[in-house]
Amino acid sequence: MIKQKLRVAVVIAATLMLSGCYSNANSVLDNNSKQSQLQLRTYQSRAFDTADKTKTMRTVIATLQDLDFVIDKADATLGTVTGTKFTYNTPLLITVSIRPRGERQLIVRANAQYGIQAVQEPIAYQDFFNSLSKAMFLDAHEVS
Amino acid sequence: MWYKTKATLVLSLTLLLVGCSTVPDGSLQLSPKSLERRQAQSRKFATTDETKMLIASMEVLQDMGFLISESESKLGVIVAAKTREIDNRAQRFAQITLSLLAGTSTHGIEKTHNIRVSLVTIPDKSKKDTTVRINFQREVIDIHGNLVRRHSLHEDDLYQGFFAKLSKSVFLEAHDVI
Repeated sequence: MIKQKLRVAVVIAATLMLSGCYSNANSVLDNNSKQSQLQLRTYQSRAFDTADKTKTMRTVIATLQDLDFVIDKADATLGTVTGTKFTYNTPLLITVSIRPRGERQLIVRANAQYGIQAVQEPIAYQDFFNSLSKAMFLDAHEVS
Repeated sequence: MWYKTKATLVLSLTLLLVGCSTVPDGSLQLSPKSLERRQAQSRKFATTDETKMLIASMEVLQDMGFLISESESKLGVIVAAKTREIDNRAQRFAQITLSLLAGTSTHGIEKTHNIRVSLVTIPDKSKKDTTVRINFQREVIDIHGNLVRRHSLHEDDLYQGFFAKLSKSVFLEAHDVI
């Protein structure tokens, strides 16, 4: 009786595995995110009252090192910095991009991934921007 | 038998659910140790030539066997990595022997580590010095090739040793020895 049940379970599992009835679109496009694109951008971005992109990038790099990240990549032209930190054996990856808004402001945006999950807690980004603001000696303005 | 199957199912489901972990609190907050660590990871050099410091740093990384994986001279950034055997042969031999005698698993016995480093040069505000900052991370791999742990390296002697080499490199290059 038990053997039969087990056999059925194995057959169902094998069928599900072979059926391939899943779509890659949702996980590639992050369609399962509970937040809208606008919400994401809002908590992942801050505006700073400076036009000095290089200095801001250097401050971002210093802040990431202060937060125990090792820098993976930095591109002055594109304005991106990517770093990795190991938290409880799990990699926490972050990309920070810096782009001008008008002539007097820069928009700094961060997005992070912890293990295989996108970091979707606004508080984590708030913490990052607090750390960055201290190093910039500038206030981080919410972007609307 | 049925109990075992049930237990396996419960365990599998738990593991599946545990997979949905979120980022630990405070991961992106500055820790009280940040300043102390920054000081250990940084040294000032009496030069305004940032490119020269970056090249001297790259030379030291190469002296240490690191391969440069990324660099952006406009921002003074070098990223490098290397894989080495951990200096624990005697300990490893003892662990393997004990495991074999006791019939326990040899998984987790550390053998190699992948070391990653990011080095940054920072022009001083006073325009007299250039600061070099470096930080290290590693992944430890066991004798079966599986990942054991990942962590940042904060040992003071590591940073002191690196800057001793860098000071020597700057001196050698300043005097055109190499």
